Formats: sequence, C-alpha cells, structure tokens
Amino acid sequence: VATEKRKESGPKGQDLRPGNARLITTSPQPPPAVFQHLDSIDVQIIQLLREDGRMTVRALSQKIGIAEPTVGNRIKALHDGRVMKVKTLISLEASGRPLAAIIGIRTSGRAIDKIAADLSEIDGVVSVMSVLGRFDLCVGFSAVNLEDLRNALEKEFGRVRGVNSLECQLALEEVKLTPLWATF
Amino acid sequence: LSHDDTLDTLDMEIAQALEQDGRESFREVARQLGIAEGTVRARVRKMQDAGKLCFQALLNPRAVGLNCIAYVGIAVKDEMLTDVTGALASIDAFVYVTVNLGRFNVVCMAFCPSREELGEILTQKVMVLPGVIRTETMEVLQIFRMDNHFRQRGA
Repeated sequence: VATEKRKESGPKGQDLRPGNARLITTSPQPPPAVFQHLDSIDVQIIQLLREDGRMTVRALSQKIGIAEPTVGNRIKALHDGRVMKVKTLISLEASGRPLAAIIGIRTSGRAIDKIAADLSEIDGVVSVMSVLGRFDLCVGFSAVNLEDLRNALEKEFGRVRGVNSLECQLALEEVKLTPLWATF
Repeated sequence: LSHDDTLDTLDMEIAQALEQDGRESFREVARQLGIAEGTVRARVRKMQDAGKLCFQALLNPRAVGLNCIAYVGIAVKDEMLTDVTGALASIDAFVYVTVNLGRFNVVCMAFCPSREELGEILTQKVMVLPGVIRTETMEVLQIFRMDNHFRQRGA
C-alpha cells in the first residue's frame, strides 16, 4: 500500500517504486507554498517559464490570455523585484564536473563572510552557505573526478585561512535535483 | 565521461554569454561573440536537444516566503535506501535528495515557509519512515553563493 501511495505522489508522474529511485527532475513546478505570495498572472508566467525559460512574450500572452505588453511588464517586475530570473543552466556532465559533493566546514579565527568569499572563488564551488549545527559552512562542490576532488580538498579548501576542518560527503546518486532557487 | 559529453569552446562561450540572463536575444549574444546569429541559434538548439543546457525560471526563496532553508543529514539503514529516498523525494519541500558517502548516507535540502513547517515535515514525514535511524538538521543562516546545475536525464 505504501508503495502505491509513493507512486501516486511522485512529481510529474514519475515512478518512485523501489528499483526506480532515479527520478532526476529538471523542470518541475515549485511547491504550492511558493505561490501564496503571488497573483495568478505571475504564477502562470512562472509556471510557463519553468517549462521553457525562453518562451516568447507572444506565446506567453496567447497561453495566459493577456496583452503582450502586460506580459513584458510582469516579467520585468518579477525580475527587478528579485523574485524570479531566467538563467541558463549547464548540466554537470557538460560542464565536465560530474561528481557532486557537499563539504561541511568548521571555521575559526576569521570572519565567516571572508572565508565564504574565498571559498566561492574555488573552481567547481556551486554553493556556499553558513549553517547552524555541526558545521559553520556547507559548500556544494562539483569535481572533475576523484583526483580533482582529492586535490581540491588539500590544495584549495584546506588552504583557505580560517578553515579548521573539512568533512566531505560525496554523492553516489542524486535521487532528486530540482534547480529552483537562485541568489539575486 | 566521453569527449562528446562536454562542451567545446564556442558552446561554452555561448552558454556563458546567456548565463546571467537566459532570455537574452540570440542577436545580442552573436554580436558579443562576433559570430552569426544562426550559429548561436543552431548551437543552443543542439545543446538543448542533447540535454546539456536548459533555460529555467529560478526563484528567490526569501521573496516567495520560504524563510527556512536547511540541510538535513539522515542516517538510513542501507538495505532501505531505495524506499527511504523514494519517500523523501516525494516531499515537496525537499528539492534535493542524494545518496552519499560520509557521515550521513542521505542528505536533503529543504525549503520551507517557517521552522514550524520544517519541524512538522521532519517529525511527521521523515522520522517516521521505516529505515530512518537519525536525522541532523543544519539550518541555513546566510547564503553567500547558490548556483544551480542539473543532470542530463539517464546520464
């Protein structure tokens, strides 16, 4: 029964049954909670631009049933208001960095924003966030191969001033990977 | 990883020219790179068809009321990994679910409207799953950098 339930609740009708756990999602809609703060036209624009970020203003206006200038203004307002932006994403494979890892870092003796700025400069670093809990910083990193990961830990991450200890979590499988959020 | 999987220099230049604004006109990209607009169009189409590149509307979590972002490390009984990660992936708030080597064999990332909702998800949807041994939540304080990547289907 539990298996059937999971299957039904899978995003975009993907089969979540055991043995089919691989369900990498590239273009799903955001969780419904997101839309509470937006009006219905903005919601429709975002949903359509989640399907195809380069959909023309004309196509958007026809699908939503509003005038083209209104669509253009809405997109501009969403962009200027730092709510939404359309970005170009390159796959991890195409960028030549197929290995994904999360590196937990403990810091000491230096301001965390300075450490974060240095870490952001490292080739392959995807995200840098300060966190509460076991670590002070969590860094998303994508590596070319294991040798590259090993060298980056020693020669890049390990040498940033203020980095005290590193703990690397290497991803074996990304069960769900939804590019949904960005910094503005 | 074969040579065909990665982007050649021109593909990479086109992708980078479009990176910050995915709706930039191909004419403008062509002008910047000093190449024909048709070349940009054809190259982009080819990269899209191969699943190497996509254009997506991304949202600012704070602007849409998602104020609680957290990494959730989960220790899962290894023989239950497929079941547990399948169930975790069906939780809307989890946009990222991975099987890992390291302290936790599963790491997720959650985006929630509030700590209360994160707490509800953790206690009512995660900790109750058979096979979950323990969880450790690290709430995000500041985002210094957050880029997005995606994976080619079936890669």
